[in-house]
Amino acid sequence: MTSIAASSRRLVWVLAGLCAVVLITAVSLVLLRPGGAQLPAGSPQAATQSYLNAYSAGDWEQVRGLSVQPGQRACNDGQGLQEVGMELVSASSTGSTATVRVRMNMLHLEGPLSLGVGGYEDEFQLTRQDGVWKVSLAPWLVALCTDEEMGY
Amino acid sequence: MMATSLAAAPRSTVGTVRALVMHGLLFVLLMIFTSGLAALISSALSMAGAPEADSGALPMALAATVVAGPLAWVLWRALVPRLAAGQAGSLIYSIQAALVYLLGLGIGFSTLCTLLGRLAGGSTVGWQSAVGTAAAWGLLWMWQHRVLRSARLAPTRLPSLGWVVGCYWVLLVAALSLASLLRTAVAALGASGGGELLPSAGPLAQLANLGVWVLLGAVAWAWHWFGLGVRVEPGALSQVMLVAGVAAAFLAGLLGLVFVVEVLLPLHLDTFTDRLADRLPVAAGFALSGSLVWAYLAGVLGTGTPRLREAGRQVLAGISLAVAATGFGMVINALLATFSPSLSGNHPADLLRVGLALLLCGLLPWLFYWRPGRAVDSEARKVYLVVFFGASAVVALGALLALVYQIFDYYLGTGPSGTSLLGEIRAPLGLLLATAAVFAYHFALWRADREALAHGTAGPPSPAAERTPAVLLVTDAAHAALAEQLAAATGLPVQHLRQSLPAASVPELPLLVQQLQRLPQDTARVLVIAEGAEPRLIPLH
Repeated sequence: MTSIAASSRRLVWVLAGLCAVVLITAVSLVLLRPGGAQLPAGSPQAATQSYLNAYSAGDWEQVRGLSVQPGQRACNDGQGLQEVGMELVSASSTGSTATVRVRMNMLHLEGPLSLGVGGYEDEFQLTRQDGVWKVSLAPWLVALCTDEEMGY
Repeated sequence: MMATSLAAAPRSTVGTVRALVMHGLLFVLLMIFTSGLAALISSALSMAGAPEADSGALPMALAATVVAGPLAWVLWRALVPRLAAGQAGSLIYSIQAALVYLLGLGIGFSTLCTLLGRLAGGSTVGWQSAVGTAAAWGLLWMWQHRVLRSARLAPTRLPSLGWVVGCYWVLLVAALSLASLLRTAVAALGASGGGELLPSAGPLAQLANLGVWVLLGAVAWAWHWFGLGVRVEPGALSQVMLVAGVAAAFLAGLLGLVFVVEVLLPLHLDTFTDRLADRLPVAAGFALSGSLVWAYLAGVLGTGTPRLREAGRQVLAGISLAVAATGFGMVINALLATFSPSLSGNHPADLLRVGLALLLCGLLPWLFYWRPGRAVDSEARKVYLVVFFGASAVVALGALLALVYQIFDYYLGTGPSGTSLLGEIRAPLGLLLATAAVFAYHFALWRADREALAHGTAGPPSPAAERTPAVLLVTDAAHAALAEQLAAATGLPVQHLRQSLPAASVPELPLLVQQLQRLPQDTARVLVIAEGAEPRLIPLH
């Protein structure tokens, strides 16, 4: 067999170029996209976001300040949040309580046969204390547990 | 004479059984040893990082390595003299060697991709186990590769079985990874962003992960294809794999395109946004990746013998027709659905959209590959028509069974209430009508071909029907290019045999072509000695 015909070679290059354009555009868009949601200050959603940012950064002092959960330490002992993302689904409040529904996106890095991202919906419950929203119940992955609950 | 053959028969049976047992045993021992070694390395790495880590797998790993390793070595050393003495021609040995190569490549390569892909995506979860598995199976693969390259120990029957199948396997992995990568990229293009409470490395990590799979898959494929010479591998296996590769890539690309068209068709617009988000990324990924692989492999197929090209053309025409016929069946189903409104099931507009997309995307390549109405050699498409009738019969039987079942179910009242007969039977009826339509067309072709053959008025011979003797061309090294020129000029497979003594001159190419055309019709192979002004042609059987 000799080398492939010029017309086939051209078609291969055109298709490869198209793939490259799609990939480069996608990577550029993802890099330029705003990182987090811009939420109204003082809202339950904004309080949840502050809680999550502190939790993700391991700033436990601030986490405890933004929470009224009985626990003091992370329930997911030893498990980082590297492979988790959270999207806001909805938020509702009635007087001094509020519910923030989120979608937890779990990343699966298993190659072509994995689904890439799988996820489920969960919710935060918040209580208003001294005019500030604080997390009273969080999904297990980002919740605080007591020593007793952790078996210490 | 009779006594000799009777004595030889049991010896041959014993030899076959012995080869089966010894190579089977070697295969099993190698698998146990490699699994044990993988677990041993993984345990060692886990315990080095965290001494309290679970070491429950260690006794089993040690047992497998210590027992199976030395036994495999002893058995292999016992087999080496037999292989060198001529037993390398055993088909059992060929299959065993190819299986070991494929398992070593399959497990080692995919685990290496998983490991590096996870690292690229920023995750180190389970790296110890991945390193152990990749190292152990990679070592097995390297050892088997060395054996396959060895002049003394390589199998002499189907020597490249492992390389050819392995090459197409890594191509499949690379193509699926590319489809997945493009799906992620298209989904990222469509996502709005900015709604994240906790931003994750999601799309970028996935792109990096899949990018590693594509890259490693492409490198492994190119190494097999160009480095090991699978691309120019002669023989039926590589030709069958090439046609199967072209067909699979074509089908994947075509179905991807069908669903891209389906998403974009302006019918039942209220769900357009959902369709765009749900189906476009996957469809676009498969359309682009499948088309890319098809374009390259079809180009390679185009450089093959006329018979190979004809086989590829017929397979692609068959796939296109199956897609178009399915679409035709769905269009009928959608039209019938408008007369039998139902609360459940697909909306007629959804059916019509998918049906039209299938019909359109199947019909155009079918017209291109089948070229209806052109004069063809009736002999060349006999096999295609027989296969087609068989497939049509199976589809029609399935559709008919479903149709009659639905009718009985409806009249006996065992089905769900509140449905209409038309609503129940429209899907199998559509498929049955579509199958009947394409069957009628091909039946007419078959009858016309039969009459043409009976009257000796068959159309011009297709390329496949042309004589395709294999040419063994003998020249010196300086005139090696003549083989390629001769293959290009005649379309015949030309194998170059290099003579050790230099030739002062070789015959002109047109003269060689002319002499080849004068060969008897039944020539299977011809030896061409191209030295001096006049070539010498020796037909072989």
